[in-house]
Amino acid sequence: MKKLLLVLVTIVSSLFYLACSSEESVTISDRNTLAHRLSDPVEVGKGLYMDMMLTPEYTTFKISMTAFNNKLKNNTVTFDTRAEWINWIDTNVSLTEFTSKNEFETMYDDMASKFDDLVKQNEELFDIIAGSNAEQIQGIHQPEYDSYPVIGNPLNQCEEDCMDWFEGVEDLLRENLENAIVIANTATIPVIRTEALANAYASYDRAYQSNALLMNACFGTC
Amino acid sequence: MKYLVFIFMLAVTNAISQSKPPQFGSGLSAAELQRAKNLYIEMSRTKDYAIWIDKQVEEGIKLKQVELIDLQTIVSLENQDEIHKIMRSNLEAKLDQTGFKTVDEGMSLHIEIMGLNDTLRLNHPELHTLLDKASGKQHVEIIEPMLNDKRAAILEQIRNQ
Repeated sequence: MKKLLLVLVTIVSSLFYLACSSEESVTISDRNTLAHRLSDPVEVGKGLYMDMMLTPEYTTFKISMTAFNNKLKNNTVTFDTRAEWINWIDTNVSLTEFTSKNEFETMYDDMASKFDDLVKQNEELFDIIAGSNAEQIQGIHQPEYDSYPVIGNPLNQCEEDCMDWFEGVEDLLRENLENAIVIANTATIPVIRTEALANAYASYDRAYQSNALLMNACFGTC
Repeated sequence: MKYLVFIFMLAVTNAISQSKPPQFGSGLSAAELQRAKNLYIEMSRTKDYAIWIDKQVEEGIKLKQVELIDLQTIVSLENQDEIHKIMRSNLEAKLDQTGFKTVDEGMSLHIEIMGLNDTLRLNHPELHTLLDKASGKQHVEIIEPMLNDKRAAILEQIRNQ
């Protein structure tokens, strides 16, 4: 259930803007088109970073990292290699909440393994980061500091219930899209199938938007 | 004579077999699915793809939840003109519920999106062959980057109005 935390809070915050928008104004600004954003590597990286933040790999990594950092307490130390970390914990375990060097190693390895998964799943993003300067990297990481929630910030029971409900509907919408594609695939004329697929995608978008509005209303009652 | 009938039947069967329409959605192997996902990501870096997404988002925003034709009707038809005729008729009837100023504006945008579809298919033949073969579930997995892009773009466009 937690895997949708980031998605949901992003939607909810976006919908506050939605609610304030004018229905009459539907012009599309060129500056904000995907085509424009694709021409800027920082914007491409930022988009990929936001996509990554919606993945289960990101969430599990953040949970692991938060747990590790909490045990480090107020020790603002950082090292480049595992060996340097182990060397530090050897003499400083009493300054932390780790119960032993062994626990430290286990949690460190868990976090490192989850980070490796994240890199493997997001090769394009990490390639862009590797080729960027410090200022660009700061721009790419910006979504991390924007309106996204801190992992571990607990929701109340009412909000948890809204999220459970939303997740259930989301699964259903995805299933409906799969079924719509199966129906589109029954078309034997390629151009008809192309129209049918476009229709299936558009129906999903409409349902997604409606569901997000209902989610917003649900949060509003909490 | 019997032999001639056999040859004739064989020829007819062969002709029917050759004219059989393509079988969509028969399913991909694990390797083909991964290949399709990679190819989709490659396509998502192109300008044509970006314009295609933006146009779809624009159409969705301007239609404001109005559906011009349903899926079952589309697959029951045999040519694209019939589809567009129904869409045009429904847009005429519901124009005031949409953000389009004229019916032509709405139809031109839809035809432009279909043209971009054709361009992407032409420029990414291997991906589209795999998409044709993918099951419904696999298809959704492959197009996940598009779903993400559209969700983000729709919300951003509205936010910036």
